[in-house]
Amino acid sequence: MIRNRIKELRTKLGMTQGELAEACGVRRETIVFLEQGKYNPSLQLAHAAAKALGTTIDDLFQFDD
Amino acid sequence: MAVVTGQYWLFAATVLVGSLVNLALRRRTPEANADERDHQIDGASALMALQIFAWIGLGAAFLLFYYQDRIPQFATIAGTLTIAAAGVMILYGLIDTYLRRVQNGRLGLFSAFAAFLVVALVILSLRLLSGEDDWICSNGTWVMHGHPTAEAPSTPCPEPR
Repeated sequence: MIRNRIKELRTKLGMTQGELAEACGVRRETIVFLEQGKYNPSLQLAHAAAKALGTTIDDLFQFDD
Repeated sequence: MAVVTGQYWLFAATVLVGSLVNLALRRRTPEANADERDHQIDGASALMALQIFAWIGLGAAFLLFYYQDRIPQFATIAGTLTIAAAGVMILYGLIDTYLRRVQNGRLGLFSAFAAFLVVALVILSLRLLSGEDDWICSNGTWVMHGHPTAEAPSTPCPEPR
């Protein structure tokens, strides 16, 4: 299972889901599902999200081993 | 309506124009139309739909072949269903193989084979839809034009006034 801090960092930056979606090149619904932990992103999307939120993939996503 | 009235060119033109308009409108939309999640879901949906269609189509075709003695037209419908089911599965396999090879940069002879298959299918479709081998109503009787495989139509052939 993969947990993430997307919503936490997004709201801290004052960014809307739509703005983050546009920055990542995906639809807003995808960001919604990402934040809810219902979708596991590709490496490309994970990198784009981390870059848009000014952090790293390791900091943004946590893997439960 | 175009298919029902036999105006196949109108059907093909409508599909072509609709597709081009759809493509043009999608290009003008600034936000993403479909992303990786959509492709993932779409791919799974398409595969499931193809498999269901193939199974139902083949099942229906077997039933229709079984009862073709009662209604002769069943054989034609069953043949069409069988060809359609096989056709979409073959098409799916070709597209799947093509996309995988494009990813690996190994198209090789596959492109030539796929192009040959598409051309062959187009020619076959034109041959089947051209009405070359068909029954023609002439002076109150059905006359063979070429070598039609179907029996003479059961509908009346009116005499010219």
